Amino acid sequence: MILFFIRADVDSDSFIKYCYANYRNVMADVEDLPPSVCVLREQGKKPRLDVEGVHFNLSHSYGVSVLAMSHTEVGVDIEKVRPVRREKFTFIEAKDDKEFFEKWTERESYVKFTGEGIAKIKREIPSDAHFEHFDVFDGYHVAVCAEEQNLIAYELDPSGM
Amino acid sequence: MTLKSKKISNLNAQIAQKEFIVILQKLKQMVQDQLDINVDKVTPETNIKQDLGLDSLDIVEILMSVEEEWGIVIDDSETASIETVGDVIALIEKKTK
Repeated sequence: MILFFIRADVDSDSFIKYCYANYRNVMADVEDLPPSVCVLREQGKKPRLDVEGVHFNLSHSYGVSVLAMSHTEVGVDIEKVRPVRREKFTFIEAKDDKEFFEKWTERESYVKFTGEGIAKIKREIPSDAHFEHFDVFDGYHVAVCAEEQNLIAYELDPSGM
Repeated sequence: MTLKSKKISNLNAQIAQKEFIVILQKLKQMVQDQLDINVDKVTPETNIKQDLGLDSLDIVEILMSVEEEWGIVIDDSETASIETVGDVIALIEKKTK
């Protein structure tokens, strides 16, 4: 899996295509992927690419976007760690904001992995779900949900879009 | 008689309009208080994610406050279809009638 980060407010479809171009370059030795893609959107479903075997998921939070791209299904969530009225979120038990965001991103990456979406944020998370966590850019937390696999991360230059 | 009923229907429309504005004002205040975002330009057409720049956590927090404030329950399917401030107002109006 590759995680692409960008520190800019970006148009989703342009960013998805930019990430795909980079993913295709990195994967060139392993698989021959088509040069261009379309993003397919259907109401109530995850956006996907018109390419077999390439899955992606995108998340933004306050000026930073992250896109996870993989040969398997994936869900990702990034959040700027900030003060939250944690007592309102009774479905999350956390001793501080840091722990709250670790748990929140885990939940959200899971419902994005399954495709259920944010409406199911309060659902129970199965104990065998696999997550990876990262603290990035001084104050952002990321969780990725996917089957266990190698993972590399890149920061993309907004001017290359 | 027709004139009278017309007046009443106008009045109902005016009341509905007023309710709409009250809900909008309350929502704007909520967003401003909770998220410290400038809400001057918020209209019913404002897209919550794109125009206000709210992320998923902010949206869930606001919807929980809406549920508390108006004593309503927003279903999962309704949450999923919310895009604009107007969508939230329509939901509140529907649920409080």
